[in-house]
Amino acid sequence: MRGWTGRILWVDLSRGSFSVLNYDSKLAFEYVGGRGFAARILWDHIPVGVDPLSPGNLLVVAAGPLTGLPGPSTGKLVVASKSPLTHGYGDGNIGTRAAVEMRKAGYDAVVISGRAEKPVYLYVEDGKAELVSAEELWGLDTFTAQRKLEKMHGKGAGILLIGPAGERRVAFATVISQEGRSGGRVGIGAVMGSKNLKAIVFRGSLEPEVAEKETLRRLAADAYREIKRKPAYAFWMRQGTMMTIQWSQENCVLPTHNFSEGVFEESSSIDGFAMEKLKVEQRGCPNCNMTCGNCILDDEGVVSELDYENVAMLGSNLGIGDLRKVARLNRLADMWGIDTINLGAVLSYAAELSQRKLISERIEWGDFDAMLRLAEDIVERRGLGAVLSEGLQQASAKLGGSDFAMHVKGLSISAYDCHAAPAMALSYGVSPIGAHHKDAWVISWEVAHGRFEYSKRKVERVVELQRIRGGLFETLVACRLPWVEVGLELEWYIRLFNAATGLSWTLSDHVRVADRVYSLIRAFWVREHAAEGRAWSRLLDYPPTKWFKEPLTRGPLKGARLDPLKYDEMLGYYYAIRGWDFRGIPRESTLDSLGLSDVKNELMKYIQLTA
Amino acid sequence: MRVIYLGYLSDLAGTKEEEVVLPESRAALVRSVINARVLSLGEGSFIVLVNGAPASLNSAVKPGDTIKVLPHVGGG
Repeated sequence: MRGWTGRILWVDLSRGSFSVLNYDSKLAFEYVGGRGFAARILWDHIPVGVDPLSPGNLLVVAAGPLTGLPGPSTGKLVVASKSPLTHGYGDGNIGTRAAVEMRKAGYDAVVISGRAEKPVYLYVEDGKAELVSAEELWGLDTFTAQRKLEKMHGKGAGILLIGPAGERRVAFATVISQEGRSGGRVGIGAVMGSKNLKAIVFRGSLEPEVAEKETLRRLAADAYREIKRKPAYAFWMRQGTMMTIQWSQENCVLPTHNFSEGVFEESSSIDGFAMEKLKVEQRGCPNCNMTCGNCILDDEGVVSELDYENVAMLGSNLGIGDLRKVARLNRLADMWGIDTINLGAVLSYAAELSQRKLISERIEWGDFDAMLRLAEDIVERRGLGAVLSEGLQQASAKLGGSDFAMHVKGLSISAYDCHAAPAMALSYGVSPIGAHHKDAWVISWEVAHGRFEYSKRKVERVVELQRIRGGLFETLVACRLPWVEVGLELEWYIRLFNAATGLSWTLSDHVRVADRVYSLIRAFWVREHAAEGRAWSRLLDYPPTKWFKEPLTRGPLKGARLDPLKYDEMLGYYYAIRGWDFRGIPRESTLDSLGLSDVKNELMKYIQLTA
Repeated sequence: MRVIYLGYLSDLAGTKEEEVVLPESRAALVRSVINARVLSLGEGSFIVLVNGAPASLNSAVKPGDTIKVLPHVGGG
């Protein structure tokens, strides 16, 4: 087996013990890596119905066969766990030196169970691992802790760590790396905190064995050159994802005032052109030649790394039109180790609660100081902040306003308003981790192909994107942006994979893996819901009620809203393509055909399946 | 009428915005007023809005209209 190291490090924090699983080609060929490995490991090894913040839950850090190898944007890894925010499958990916160093240290994945008695960090170097006291790091923000760890282990170390939010188990705490790279918005940082695990540090000098080293090197060089030749490249290098602010405003999908509107009157103050005037630095992930981390100085003069999602959620969605103030909220969130999308969502939900007089606190749109105080309270888990720190689903169960708590399955909607975008709403509805844009970002295609249409071709497009974005890229593990943003052809990734592994796969082989992973993840959700006594229903795949009930009141698409009956028809067609029944549960025949008969047999212990 | 190119399409068109005068103030199709280099990307390669509303290359436009041509983006 080449391309893969064939080794997974298992760490039991409760016992302070380590073991190595030498896995075979069955796991590699059926699940490839990254999300695929994580989903299978979590299905097989977590205690069914486990409390996500208990020692029994597992934290999985997984790379793929392209991670760290020559090739565009291959410096990424996946972090995954049973989510404390959704109680379902949760993952996220991070572009970080840790991805490269983990593979060079000799592992494709690390699986962590148990809970350390006192704060520790995990140090892994060239096949060896140890737990080191982190008592001096506990309580530090992620930037300070990163610098201390770099001082101890060198600038070349790959570091994943949590901040105060993860330590205090805020349900949407993330894992941070390199002072601004963030992933695992489903609360993977809280899982680390619950295990008393402050950080994971990788260093390595080993090289994963590949099948055709020279071919791989040449392909990679050609692919980098091809990226630079694309017509979109120069503009991308100027603005990165920040160009999407203007794009979303023009298409009336820029989240504004808790997703009440799709246009923001101050959008030009926070868009890519505003950012360009303030830009001081550009950062990127390892192995990337289209670096998208655009940095400005915030209103306290500190560097903050911006992208579309965090500026939209902490800017227009809160009514804040000052980019340097938005940058401060963003930078503090990264230092605390908290997800900017969820943070923007709970703050805007609180503002709407306030304006509907459902809480006594006064929070106006655009009131930066009030938003900042509340954000601090969330991290400190004080007062209203303590309720919001549990996430939108839990908070709205206590405070009311579930119609305008903008989430799916507990995970907040990321930054696209869907009053007039039914396919994107479906994409959020059926995303495998709760509402997220990563898997099927269909909205750009949708606005060009029948904006108001509810059709089978839209559903088919959602599935196609899931298979590529959520399947191919999340299992390889590589960044999707060269493909989606500048148009690097998918064939490059297939050829890189084949050169690394010596296999002769086509895209359809990867699609089969993707379909297997999607049905396995769905089985995980259903099993965990059943084991926890939570009812499963297709309503869990619905977007928030606000988009059905409360139309847009401003802009060219004033009056637009989603049609629930037509949405439900699209959802039914999605299930049919996936081979899931009317409840959205994989059929027995589907699981059998995907090579998941063992999953079928296990799932049948918890819920009756449809033939 | 005004034709506005957003994102990298302004690089391709060589301008962010241009004024197009229709002969004898007649109505025309969007495809007839868009920069040739942008048009050469092919239908479906970009998004067209007329006066802020979704449109296509075959939509009719008239003097005074504003046409915006946007690239597809991937959304982070």
